[in-house]
Amino acid sequence: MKGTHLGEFEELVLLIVAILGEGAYGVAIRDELEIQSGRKISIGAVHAATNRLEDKGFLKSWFGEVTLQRGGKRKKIYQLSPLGERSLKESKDLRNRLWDLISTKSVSITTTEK
Amino acid sequence: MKSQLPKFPRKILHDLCDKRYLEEIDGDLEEIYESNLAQFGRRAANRIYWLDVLKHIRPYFIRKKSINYITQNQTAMWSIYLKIALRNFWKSKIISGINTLGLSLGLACCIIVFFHVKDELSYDEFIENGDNIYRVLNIRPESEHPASAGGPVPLGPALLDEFAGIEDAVRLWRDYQPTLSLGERVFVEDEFIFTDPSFFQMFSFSLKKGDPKTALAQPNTVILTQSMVRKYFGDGDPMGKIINYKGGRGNKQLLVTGVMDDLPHNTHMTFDFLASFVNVSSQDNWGSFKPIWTYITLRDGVSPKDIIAGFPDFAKKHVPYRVKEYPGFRFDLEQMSGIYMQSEARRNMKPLGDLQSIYILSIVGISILLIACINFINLTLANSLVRFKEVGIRKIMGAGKSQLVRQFLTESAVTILLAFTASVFLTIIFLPLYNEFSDKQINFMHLLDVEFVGYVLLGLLGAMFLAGLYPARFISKFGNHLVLGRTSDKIGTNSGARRGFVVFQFLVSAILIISILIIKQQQTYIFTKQLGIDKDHVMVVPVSKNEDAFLQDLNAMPQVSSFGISQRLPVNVLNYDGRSFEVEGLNRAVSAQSCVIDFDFIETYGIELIAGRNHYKELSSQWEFLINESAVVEFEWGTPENALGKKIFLSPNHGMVGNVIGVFKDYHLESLHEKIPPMIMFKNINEEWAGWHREFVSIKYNTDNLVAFTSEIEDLWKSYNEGSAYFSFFIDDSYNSLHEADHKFATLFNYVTFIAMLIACMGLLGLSMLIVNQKVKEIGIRKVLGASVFSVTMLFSSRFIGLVLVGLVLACPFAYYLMDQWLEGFSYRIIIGPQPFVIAFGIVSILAIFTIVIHTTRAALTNPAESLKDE
Repeated sequence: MKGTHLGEFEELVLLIVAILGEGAYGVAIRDELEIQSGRKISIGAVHAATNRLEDKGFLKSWFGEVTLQRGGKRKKIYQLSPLGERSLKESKDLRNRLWDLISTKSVSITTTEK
Repeated sequence: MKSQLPKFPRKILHDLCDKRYLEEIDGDLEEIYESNLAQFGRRAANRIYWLDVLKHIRPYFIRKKSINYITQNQTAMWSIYLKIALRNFWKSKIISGINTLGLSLGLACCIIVFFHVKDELSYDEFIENGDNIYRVLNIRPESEHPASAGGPVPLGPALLDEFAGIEDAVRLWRDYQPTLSLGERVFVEDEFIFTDPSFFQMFSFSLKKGDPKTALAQPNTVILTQSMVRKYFGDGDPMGKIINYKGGRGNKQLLVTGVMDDLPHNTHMTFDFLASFVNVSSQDNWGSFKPIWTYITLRDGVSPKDIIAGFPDFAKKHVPYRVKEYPGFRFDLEQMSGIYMQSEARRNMKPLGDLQSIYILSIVGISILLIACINFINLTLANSLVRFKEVGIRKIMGAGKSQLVRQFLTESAVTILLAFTASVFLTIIFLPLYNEFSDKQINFMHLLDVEFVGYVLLGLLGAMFLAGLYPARFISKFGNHLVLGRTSDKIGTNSGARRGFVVFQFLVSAILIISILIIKQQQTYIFTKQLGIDKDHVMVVPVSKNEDAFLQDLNAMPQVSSFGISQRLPVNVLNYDGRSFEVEGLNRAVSAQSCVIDFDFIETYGIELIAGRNHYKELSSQWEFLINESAVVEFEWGTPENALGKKIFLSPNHGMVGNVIGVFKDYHLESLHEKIPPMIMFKNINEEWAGWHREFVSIKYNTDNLVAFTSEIEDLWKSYNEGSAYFSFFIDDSYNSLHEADHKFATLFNYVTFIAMLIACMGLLGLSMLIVNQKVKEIGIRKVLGASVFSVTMLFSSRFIGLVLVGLVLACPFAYYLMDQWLEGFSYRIIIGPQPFVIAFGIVSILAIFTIVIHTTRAALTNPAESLKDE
């Protein structure tokens, strides 16, 4: 069985897929990622991540309708699988727990609200 | 909307990307492309598309082997591949045999050529610091061979004196055939060299005995090579012994002060003795250029250019007569490490290598391997086409394409490995032959050389992929429908690649054949050219003591037709005696080869006088000169008749001034690579000069019983010369040895051509099998419908013969160019006529037609009932 560990980039991709809902396909994911993170992201990286996440079972996908755009090629639309949702949640819980453990007296970091 | 995407990157994507990801990636990229197109324009969009495609080339997306096959046990399959490969190898013995033989011949050729080239390039590498040792040349810009390596005696010391940048100068002076004796043992030596004491500081040779620093510091000392020690002393210790020397530098008693190993063959130097230069000659004789090679080393940071810049003044100061004689005369330097391969200079210690023949041989070697590889491809294809059904069934049973590729690669690998093993054996068999005629010492231990093993591995891998991959991929592409259906015309022989192969093979073979024919013509020309002298039936012995009595005895022998005494011999490379002097009517110095002869010399060698007369038999009281035609031209005297009576001031200081009494036809002094130099021959006058420069007796004989004759002459000579060294040789042998290198080159080329032709014909056989095996049924049907054996044969032969002819025609200009270049190296050469081309055409067409027709005829003769029965 492939590892269930989530990398930083993978976690971002999962979150974006969740944000985009029905419209989560390669180009859209890439564009949203660039907007949200503010970094330049190659479409190749997105494709690699989504497909790998699908292999690991965090994402499921189906092909959309044939349209006149994209040279007639179908979009591959992604959606979180239950496993994906659970891992995201676990990851968030873990972070929350860890944040809570930070003593505000000893460490002078505060969360930056965006 | 029509896709405007750049085609090439898209093709890359489609070729590489796994089907599972392709649609998503392709679509997304196109969407991005369209938006970029609208936003940034075509160029930017194209560029981004390119980048995006490249960024998708990662292992994850690259096409995987078909799914069902990932789960199979690969290790087990390899043993099956091997088993099947061996079975198939045995099943088609003829094809496998031809394949293996052709490939191993090609490989063996390549291996030997590799060793040859490597050895040629290794000359003088073992001498340390070879890049900083320079040989001094003298250049006469306007003559045909401008560079020459000999120099005057004081050249080395003078250079060392006058150029601060020169660290050391060492001279090597070859003495012409001195006689050495040790007690009763007397020998004439060919390789005797006088050299300066710092020889061993300049050249990194080591001494087995003796101290390299001091061994030659004293006058009259000598160092022997190991084989000379054996020759003179047997197992005894030579150190401190005295050897008597009698030669060009008078009589000396030389003390043995060192022993060194024999020189390796891969150096441009050659010597058996190194004697001390100290006190052997007066140090201020700038008057003549002798076989003295001067080497210098430069101080750190000094470039040879700095030194050369000072040479014009240096030449004006020391050899003004040369500068006067040859406008632009100068000295020059060449790196010692490059002498063997690159030097253009004449007068070398031994014959040098030839970069051009190295190139030719390398190209030929590689071409042969290519021909063999092409054959291999063709034959593998030919054979595999018969295996349609096997491949089809394998595919139906679930073999993936890459599995088939692997199977066929294994089969190629088996053949190639076998061929390689065979080629190693072939090489071991051929090496002694090769060594014998190339004078090299390459043995099979060289096969274990690291560099060689590396190249072999590289070559084998290359050959496997080159020769294995194409057929393997080709075969594995057969569709399943081919199993049960007909053979498709697509798999025919009309593919451009294979046509190109055939043309290429015959192009190379034809070039080789035309070349060897031209080389042969030149060889024949060399050996039959009118040399201007009669070189046959002439034997040479040294002059004898008590000369008159000896000559009288000689005269009395019935087998002797005539004999002549001379300073030099017509065929003589090293004992040159170039003199500079003045002649009547010309206000510059000229130079010519000079030779002292006697009355009978002209007759003995059949030298033809075209004007004037020979010397008189009696001693004359004044100098009289015979000159050759080249001298007439060089001295600007117009016609031979006009030259008669002209004055030559050969050596006014010694009273050697006289008239031209005759002009003789040019004869060759050296190999045909060299132009005939101007030459003067004269007879000694009066008693004072009578014995001067009388070295050889040339005896013209008229007997076939050479054994008896030579021993009789030897006995006669020895009876007059107790304790002196005797030698004898035949002039035609000496002449032939001048062209030994050419002869060897021709022989090597001969073999190589034969092998190339053999391999090419094997290839043709394979190809005709390929086509005929495919068309067995077609032939059957044609015959049933009334075609004759002849018409069927013609039909299938014609297209090959067409290709062969194309190859032949293309070969002509290449061969012409190559051979013209090669012939440039000869001063006397043949003109390339149509003959070799016609003959090559004949040979190649006949062989090719023969190969093709045999096979097609056999197919055409097959009973149609046989070929059509199973449809």
